[in-house]
Amino acid sequence: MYPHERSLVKRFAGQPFALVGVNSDKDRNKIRQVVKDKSITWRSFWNGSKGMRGPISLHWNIKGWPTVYLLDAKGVIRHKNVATERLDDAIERLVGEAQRTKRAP
Amino acid sequence: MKRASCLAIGLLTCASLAAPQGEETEQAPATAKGLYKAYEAEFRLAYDAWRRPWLAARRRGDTKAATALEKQDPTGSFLPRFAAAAARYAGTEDAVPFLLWTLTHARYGRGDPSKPLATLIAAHIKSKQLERLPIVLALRVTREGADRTKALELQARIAAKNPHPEIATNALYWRSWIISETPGNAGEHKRAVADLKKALAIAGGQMPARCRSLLFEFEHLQIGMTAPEIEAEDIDGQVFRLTDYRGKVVMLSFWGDW
Repeated sequence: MYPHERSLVKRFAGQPFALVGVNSDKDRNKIRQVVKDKSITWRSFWNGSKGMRGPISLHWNIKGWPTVYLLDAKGVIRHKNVATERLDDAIERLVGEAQRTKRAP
Repeated sequence: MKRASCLAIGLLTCASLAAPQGEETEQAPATAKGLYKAYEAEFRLAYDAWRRPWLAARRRGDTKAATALEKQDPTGSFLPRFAAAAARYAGTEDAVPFLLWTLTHARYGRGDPSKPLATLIAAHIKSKQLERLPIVLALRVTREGADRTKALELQARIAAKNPHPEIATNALYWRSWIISETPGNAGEHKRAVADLKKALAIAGGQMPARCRSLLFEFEHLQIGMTAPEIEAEDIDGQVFRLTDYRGKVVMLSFWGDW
């Protein structure tokens, strides 16, 4: 997954797009090292020491990992569990929408 | 998809084998319970012995060996034995565990799940042993492509007819779960919300937390709804918010370094 995420961050750099993670690793030190080693540049909420049973994923009723939600620029949920191969297109459409709205008077 | 079905085997097997192990006996056990334990212990031994090399083959990426091993899965040879035992105790509570076993294990084109299911519904819908039936029905829909409409109808029937609150709430939960996991219409969503509220009003045991989470998903995490706020620490301990990103498209990814 990391290479795809890295390519998304690169592709939409300078555009109204952000990748935000919710990380489920129990050990915060370990994940800090992973973030460093694998040059993960996006920010992640930490789901806490209970890992996949942590408070954020419980609240969001996450049943499988990884799970991806796509929110538009207004914070509205537009896609859930997007298939990896459809992710780029879906983001591109939403980013285009955000840019059009911004330009509109 | 391959991995998902492998997990499914693990999940269903662990859960269905959760009953305590029976003692080894030489002659056939006299009671249905004893027979079930003996069959299950025997199955578990055979299954584990088969599964280890199969998993190893998959782990080293040897698809050819794994596929060859799949044909030797011992489940198929146990299905007729459990079915025969179910027939032997037909019409009594003793048949229920055998029927559930055959229903749970008749999959991947092996065996016929429709017969044990029909019997469970027709003859045992009030049984106190149906606790796992709702989850089995739900997973059959999402993992095996079983008839969704029929599954929804059966769950509703179990919820209405079974007098044991933990089974009725299981049926309400798993009925709603099917609706959340598969494309459904507005009417179904409304019904799911009502069912989950009903389940929460009855519930006991493990279900309330799951019902509440699913209810939250129906009421706050649907496409077109404003995403709930997240305010939490990042991996370095700095608090930030999801709404910090308003004005940007956000890909919110639940991930881990597994």
